[in-house]
Amino acid sequence: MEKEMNVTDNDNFDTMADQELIVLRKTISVDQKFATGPVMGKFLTALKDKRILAIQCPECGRLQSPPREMCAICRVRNREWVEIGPRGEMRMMEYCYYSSPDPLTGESRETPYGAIGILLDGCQKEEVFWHLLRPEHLEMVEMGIVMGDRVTRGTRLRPVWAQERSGSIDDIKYFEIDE
Amino acid sequence: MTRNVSICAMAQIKNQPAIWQHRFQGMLMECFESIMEQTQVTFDMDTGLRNVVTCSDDVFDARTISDAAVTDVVGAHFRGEEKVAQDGISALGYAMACILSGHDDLILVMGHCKESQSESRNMCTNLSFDPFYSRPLGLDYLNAAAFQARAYMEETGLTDAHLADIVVRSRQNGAHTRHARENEQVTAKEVMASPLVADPIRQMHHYPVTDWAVGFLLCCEERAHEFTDNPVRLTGFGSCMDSYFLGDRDLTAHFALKKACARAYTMAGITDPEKELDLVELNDACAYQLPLWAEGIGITGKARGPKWMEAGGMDKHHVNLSGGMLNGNPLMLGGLARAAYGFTQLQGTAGINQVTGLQRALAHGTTGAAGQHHAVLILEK
Repeated sequence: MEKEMNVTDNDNFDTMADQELIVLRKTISVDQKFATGPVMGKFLTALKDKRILAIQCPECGRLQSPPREMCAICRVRNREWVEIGPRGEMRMMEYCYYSSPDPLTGESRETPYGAIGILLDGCQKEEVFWHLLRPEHLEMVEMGIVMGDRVTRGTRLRPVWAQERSGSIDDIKYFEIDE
Repeated sequence: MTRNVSICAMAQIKNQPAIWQHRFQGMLMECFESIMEQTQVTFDMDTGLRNVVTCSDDVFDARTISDAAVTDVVGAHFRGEEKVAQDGISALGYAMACILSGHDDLILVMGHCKESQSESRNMCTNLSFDPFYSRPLGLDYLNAAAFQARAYMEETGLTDAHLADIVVRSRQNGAHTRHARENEQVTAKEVMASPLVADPIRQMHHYPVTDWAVGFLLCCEERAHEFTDNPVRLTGFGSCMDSYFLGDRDLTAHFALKKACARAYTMAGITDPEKELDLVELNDACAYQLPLWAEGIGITGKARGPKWMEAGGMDKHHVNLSGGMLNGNPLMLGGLARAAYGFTQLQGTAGINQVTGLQRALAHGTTGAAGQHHAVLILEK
């Protein structure tokens, strides 16, 4: 048998503006260890030696960097490794006016920063490598454009390597104008 | 016309404590390549695979929308891909529905989970609870299971000795199952001496940390011959969700499991599960769940779990000859592992524990704290 409840003003959602509405602040944190596997692992290891590697699809020949286990388009395992760059041409850039903190260090990079796509030497079409532009060079670069037959060359760039390299994408500090 | 659905192929990697040498993409790739090789199935838009159903968990993958990260290695590029974020047996049920509805002829089902990636499984499952009440009080799937275990033991007289027998048998069976996690064989005495982790659950009563991936190719029955000479039919599926809040549930009443079974049994034309199921694979993350779920699916007759066990019910009904989840499958994939084993049994390739004359098997999966959601699948030769 159900008990009849006393209905008070508090049962009416409309009156909730009168009460203190509590918001809890919590941080969700579970430590992880991410295996890189033989493919991403090889790419990261090469960065220690200041080399940028791409993996190539045996069917379409598409270069992929960072490398993936399979060519998504051809659905076959990638096998051949090719060294690309390290110099290249800027293809696109966006100004990013905010920056999220690094979850490990809590530090945020300065804003605005340039997120860039570079066509590293040896690559073509969409085989663009994503990284960062040296902040001082933000206003000094031009994007390369390919629209049908119209090709405009972008600014030539080169990587600036970190002094201490550990096999992470931060081993490249950023790309800067190559002159 | 009513359609029927078959599993044409299954591929899995070995269940292991920590697959440190691969990303989960690499784990799935091996299954994907095996399915392609076994069946020669294509991704032709007219005759081949157009849709993939995946199963993974955002928190265990530490990546939101976890399926987006695996589309490359499951052939989903420029195809339909949908993710099931609960026990993967629901992915098989969903794939079945795609085929039964006439929506598609072929569906690839791919599941992965890498439990070893996280510092703690309990910290991950703690996140499944609400952030205001249950989560700060420390609930996770393990200690929530302990409430259920205690209630069930009080109600039925299931003892620590019964639980030890289940663990010993699980590891013996696991040792006979290909791709099963390799565990040390133990005696009942050793199980009963293993430390309590959440009374009455001891460490050995709880499945060990495991990494695994698996894939299935499902097809409408009339085209199954294109991909295999040895298909296994899926004739029934049912699922049911119980209340989220643990306190709303009667933890030993089998509300969701009975309803899931009723639906699957009706679909498969089963009226007496005790007699009509030749093989049963139950998703026992903890030892006490084997007799509890056995009651829920209706194979213990009038007996409660302990009496059924004492009468030899586990072997008589061929329950968890794989070793069960207790031997080690990751969360989310417990039900897929049950279906994978049922498939090998019905194909006649289960090895030492092969049951002869097998016609029909039940595979069970469960998601959520203390069995909030249950789903069962009926497989037939």
